[in-house]
Amino acid sequence: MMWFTKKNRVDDVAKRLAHSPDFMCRRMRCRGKIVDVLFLSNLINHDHLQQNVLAFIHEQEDVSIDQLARCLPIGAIRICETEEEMASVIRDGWAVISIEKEKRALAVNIAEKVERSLEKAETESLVLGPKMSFTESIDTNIRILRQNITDEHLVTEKITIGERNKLEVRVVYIQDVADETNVQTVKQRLSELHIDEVIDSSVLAQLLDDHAYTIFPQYLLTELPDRLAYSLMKGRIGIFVDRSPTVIICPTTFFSFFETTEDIYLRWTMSTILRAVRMLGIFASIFLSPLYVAVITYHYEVIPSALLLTIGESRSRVPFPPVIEALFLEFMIELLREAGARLPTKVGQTMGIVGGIVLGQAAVDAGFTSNVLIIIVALSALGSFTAPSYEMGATIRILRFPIILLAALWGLVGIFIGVSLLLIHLLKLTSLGRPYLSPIYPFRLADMKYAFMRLPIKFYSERPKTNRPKNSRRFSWREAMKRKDLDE
Amino acid sequence: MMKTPHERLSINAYLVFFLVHTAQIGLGIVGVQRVIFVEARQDAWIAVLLSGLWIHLVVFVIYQTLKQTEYDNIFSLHTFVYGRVLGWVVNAAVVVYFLMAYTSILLGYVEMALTWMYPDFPLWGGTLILVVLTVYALYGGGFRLVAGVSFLTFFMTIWIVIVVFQPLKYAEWIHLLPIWEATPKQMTNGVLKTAYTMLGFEVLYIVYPFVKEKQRAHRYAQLGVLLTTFLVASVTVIAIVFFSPMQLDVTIWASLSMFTIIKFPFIERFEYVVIPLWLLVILPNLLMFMWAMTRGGKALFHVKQKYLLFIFACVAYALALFFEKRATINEFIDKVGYYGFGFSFIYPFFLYVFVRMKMWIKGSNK
Repeated sequence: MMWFTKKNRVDDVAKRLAHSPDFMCRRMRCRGKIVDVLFLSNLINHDHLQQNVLAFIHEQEDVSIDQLARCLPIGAIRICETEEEMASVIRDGWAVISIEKEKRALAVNIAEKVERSLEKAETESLVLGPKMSFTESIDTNIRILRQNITDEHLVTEKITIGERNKLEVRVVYIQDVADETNVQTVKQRLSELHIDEVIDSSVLAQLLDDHAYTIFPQYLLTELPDRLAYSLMKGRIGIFVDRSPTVIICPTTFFSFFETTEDIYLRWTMSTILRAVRMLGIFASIFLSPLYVAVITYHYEVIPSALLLTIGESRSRVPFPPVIEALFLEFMIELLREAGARLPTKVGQTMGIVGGIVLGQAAVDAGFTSNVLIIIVALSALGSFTAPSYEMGATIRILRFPIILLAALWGLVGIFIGVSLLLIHLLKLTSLGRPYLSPIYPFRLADMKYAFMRLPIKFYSERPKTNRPKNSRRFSWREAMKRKDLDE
Repeated sequence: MMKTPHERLSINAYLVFFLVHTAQIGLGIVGVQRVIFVEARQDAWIAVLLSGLWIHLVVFVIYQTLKQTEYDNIFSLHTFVYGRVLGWVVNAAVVVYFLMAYTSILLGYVEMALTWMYPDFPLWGGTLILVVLTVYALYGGGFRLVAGVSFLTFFMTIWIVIVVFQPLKYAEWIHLLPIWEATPKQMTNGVLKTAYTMLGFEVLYIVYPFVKEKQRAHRYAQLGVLLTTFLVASVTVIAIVFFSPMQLDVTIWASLSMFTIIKFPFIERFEYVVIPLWLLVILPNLLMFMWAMTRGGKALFHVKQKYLLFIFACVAYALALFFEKRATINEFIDKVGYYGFGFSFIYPFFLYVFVRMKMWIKGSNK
């Protein structure tokens, strides 16, 4: 009878594992008992299995589940009651030890996960500061985070999502800093997700969005541990997703997409200027080519006469209206960028030559576009690449097109209609229910030093109010501001 | 009685400054100079100051009125004072006034933009764009958005003030003399003509319940009015000293005409930048009046504001379609200014008295 159940158990588990060919059952006879060790051979560390499991069981005087649970030299073990449970842990790379005549089985973690080594951050490149980036393994990522933040209040809460393809998600925050409502919102949204699978953190970010019908990203995706650590210490929340090298940071504001950690590493004067350059670049990137279209099409009176000559001369050979000209060039730049992103890096270098020299110069020679427009389009392309967040960079590049069309339709008024729409849209947006345009609206003067500029570090005695930190004090303002007497 | 809005919807007191100021500043300031100058000649700026003083008093009275009872906006207040039927009629009149004000801004701006920049563009197209913009903003945005837009557009446009003083290089200060020559009748007419430019503060009647600290908000409202008065007065003075009297008599958009002399190394005709930019100035006006309308409509018909938004937008647009010529639009704007003067400059005093009387009667009944 017992023998019958035993056989049944292995078969049952095998059936639950869809009869995988790599499912193994190592049957041993120790001290007169039949011991089965079940595992998926592709998932486990074989050295580990032989030395710490098989050899160890052989050496035991008394072979029973309780004894093994007490003595096995493996960190993670658990007792399984049902076959279903066994199958599910085996799928995670555990080995299940089942002993004749015992109902329960012992599962031990001897999984070996495939992962790449830690590499330098690629998408968010920095000059100063730590270069390491997250990888695809959540365990490694959490390890990196724990090395970065030793705060005792660091919480890493585990939530499993995905009804078919289960996925481990960790919500991380500093318990006495992060706002409780924000944390609750994140957890609630995660637990309310009823979806078969989530493939990456960027997909999860879209699922957690407040607004689906917008071009603006509402969550920051980063691959930099130092950026995450900085955000957490300022009261934000991070979401780790297994199998994804990017971490979600929320809540965000519009301006947090233009910050880099490098702004903190550089001296405050430089980073203030650099951030201003970046903002100006992005602003120009959205509005330069629409302005060109509007002014050339409708209001050439606005251009001073000296400049008008230059522009007129360079446009004299162009047979198209300015919109077509601008759309053509913008499209070309987008094409170059997209091709560059898709091509393997070795071939990618030729893109620069093709784009810069062949297309650019030839387009002017052929009378397709004017020189002035080439400068403008190149400038705005450059501007869009200064956005430290890849998502925001893409948003800005796309944003330009509707505004060019508006400019073509109604000139400068069209551009301002675009500005109004943009303004209204941004005011309506929220991230995690928090206003997207903070600290501009709602206005928070104290947060301006975070969003727009950098000051000497002694001014940053409080965490940004936008994140609603539970505890906003970082260090003593009074002590930092103490002045010494002349001859002290 | 209407329910007080939820805490989440209410705004900080300081925002009242921006709400009042941006609701006041709009189309009027672009061409107010000639209108007053025709009436009060070189004393036009005094008329502006007088009407500013008057508005300070009115704002004070509005706050006193709203403080009296637990009814914290004009619509429930009217029902309280006049009873259900008459109150409904008066409320409807207020909504009609807001509708007219909204349409006048619509027409005024589009007409100005078309005259200066796009002679070929149809009027109905321009107004349609603005109506759509209003609906898009308010739908799903509500009052929080009105406050946000007025706050942001204030900072996006206030820098023009620096430029406004540039024409002073060519000022002939002698034009201001002799001071105080206008007769009382001329002065009254001058104040009356200022009304359209200074209108907008009456939205306080509706904004009031949405403000967190009501007592502090009063101060900010007064400050907003002060800034408006200052700006309108300075623009008037600058126009008087910049243009010769004969010239000013025929200059419709005096502020814009003054901008024509301003030059930057990269911009030759500054007024071509100002007119598009003015869209941001009138945007809070449009949103504010449309929002006020939907609040009033809610009190009248007990319908959801989002439905009313569409209905009123259609009505306003249909109304705007009736106008084609500059002259009729001007007449309409004058009429709105006239009603606005009655509603915003005079009526608050009466309302205050009525409310006190009603309370006194109610008290003696008990």
